[in-house]
Amino acid sequence: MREIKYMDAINEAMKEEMSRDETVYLIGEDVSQDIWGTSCDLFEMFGSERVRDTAISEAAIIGSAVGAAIAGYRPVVNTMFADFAMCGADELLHKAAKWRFTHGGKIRIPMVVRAPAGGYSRLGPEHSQCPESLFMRTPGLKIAMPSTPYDAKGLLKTAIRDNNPVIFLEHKNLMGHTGPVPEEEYLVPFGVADIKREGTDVTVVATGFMVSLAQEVAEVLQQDHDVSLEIVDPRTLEPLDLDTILASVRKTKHLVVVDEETSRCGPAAEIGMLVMENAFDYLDAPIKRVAAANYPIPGGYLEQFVLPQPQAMADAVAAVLGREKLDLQGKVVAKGAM
Amino acid sequence: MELSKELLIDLYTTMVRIRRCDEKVIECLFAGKLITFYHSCQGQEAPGTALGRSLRKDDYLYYNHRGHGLPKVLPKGMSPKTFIAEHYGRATGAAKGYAGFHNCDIEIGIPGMGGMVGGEATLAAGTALACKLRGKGQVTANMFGDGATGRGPFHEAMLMSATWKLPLIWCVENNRYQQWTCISLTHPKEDLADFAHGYGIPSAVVDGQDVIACYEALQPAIERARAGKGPTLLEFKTYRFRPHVEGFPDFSVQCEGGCRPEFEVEEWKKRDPIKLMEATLLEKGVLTEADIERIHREATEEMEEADRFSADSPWPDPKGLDQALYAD
Repeated sequence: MREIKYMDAINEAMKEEMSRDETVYLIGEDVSQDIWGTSCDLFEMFGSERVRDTAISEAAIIGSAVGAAIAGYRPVVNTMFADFAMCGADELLHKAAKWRFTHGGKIRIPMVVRAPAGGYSRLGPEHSQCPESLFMRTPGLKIAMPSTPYDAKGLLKTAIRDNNPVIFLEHKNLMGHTGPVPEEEYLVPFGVADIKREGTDVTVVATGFMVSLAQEVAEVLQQDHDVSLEIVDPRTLEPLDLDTILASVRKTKHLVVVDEETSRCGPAAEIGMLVMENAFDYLDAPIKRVAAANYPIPGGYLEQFVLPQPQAMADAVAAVLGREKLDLQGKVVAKGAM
Repeated sequence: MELSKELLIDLYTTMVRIRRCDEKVIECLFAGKLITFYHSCQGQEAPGTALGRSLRKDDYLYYNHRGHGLPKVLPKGMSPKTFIAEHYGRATGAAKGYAGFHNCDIEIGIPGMGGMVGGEATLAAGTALACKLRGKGQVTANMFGDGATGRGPFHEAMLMSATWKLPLIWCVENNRYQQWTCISLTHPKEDLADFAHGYGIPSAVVDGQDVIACYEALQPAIERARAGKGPTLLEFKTYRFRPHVEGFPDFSVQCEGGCRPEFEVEEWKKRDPIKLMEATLLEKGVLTEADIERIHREATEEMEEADRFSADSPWPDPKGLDQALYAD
């Protein structure tokens, strides 16, 4: 199978869906260029009516998408940085998420907010966040977090066809990652987790960029310490495929949850609690989580002391297994560590 | 502009129905039958009536909290039955009892109302964009209060609508009080229509107590939007006769005594939009005293029937929560 970059997989999804359905349009600041490289030829192909560069007006970008969606269009917003979506918080967390419900299910709001997320690029506290917990605590939204080019393309196509608002957290650090993507059309359904690596000793639930980091950690732990990790990637946090997570936990009896969001009230807290409520009797050890420390994400050198690091994942695995230390010896390095 | 006799009677009758419905809702609130709060629209019936009666069924209308949209949604075609039933929290309500006061009927172009003042502005811009892209001459109108012009998203939406020449009619009802604070403390100028100058779009200041003036001001704005020439900002000078929200005093801290001055309220009541129109129609010989009595009686009966319908309606089934949250 051919291999393409994550950013090109996103571009293909956009092109295919914009060709398939003329109610789909892209809107945001400099979306005709997109600093993350996902737009390429979209403007040339679809023109300024369907690739709409706007003023720096996040509230109007997101709010107008809600209004157009109510009136039968399928807007795709790109916020450039997930952090910037906060400027449209009312539009996103109230209007997009709640208006269908508020109005008794009488309207549909089919829209996607692509929010390039994540740190490890030393861009400071307001350009580095993975704010999925904000969206998880907001019923009415769906949340996709692709970790591979395959998932990025398949999930984005599903997101655009979904009749609900979808937050699509494409990870900035993954844009240049390559992976197999079929030539022929496919969709990745929401609410279906993918086991990215099969294993027997510890279940590691990871999302987004954390999946690739966990895969590297798993490889070293297997080689150097004979520890077998099973990596479960939920792919969508809402809907969440709890069954696949529980099945894996019943098999391995140990759980580590890894995410890039701030630890306090993050997805790891929620997933850990769900497992405790539903599979406590299967666990041989308390659940551990690895997430960003409870600070703003510092710019520069200090970033590596706040964002989750590979050795912290190995330490969590050691803790649930009751092992002294599983030293990675620096063989896995997250981008951005110095 | 010469308005037909039928239209004049229709505008008058619509305002009377709004007033009777507002009074009925307040009566039910104090009788303990309403399950939510209420923001009376008495005194502000004219601009929404003129707007709702000027729009096509397939045009879109966003509204605000004053009367919970009553003076806009009733003229656009919403039934007082579903309006009152929503305030009773019943399954037959305009939002199936999910919101208590956020009325919605997408079939007649009413997408709904939010909980943030001015929060509909950006949505209106997007709906207007959809109208423009669809190319069927539809327009979107957003009617909101003076308080909304303090919010950033309103200005973002104005900028977007002006830049893209969206088919939008921005209608601000300036009643001079955002909740309890007078506009003299929050805005450097009394005329909010002046905001239009910065965005390079046409504007007008309209007597919001005169429903004929409101109607006449709206027609060129709507025609302009339909013709693809872009948005207009209309400012309707108006006044609410009752407190911001029912059950609270008519606060206004900066005024002497901490409340809106009674003489100000009394002055404005002399310009009651219903009484003004009544005098005009009597003078023109369009209506007789007997006609007026009949219109009021029928409106009263209609609202009593709506009250009975609402009280007799079932509660919403909580099994519907999932279906309301996500669409298939």
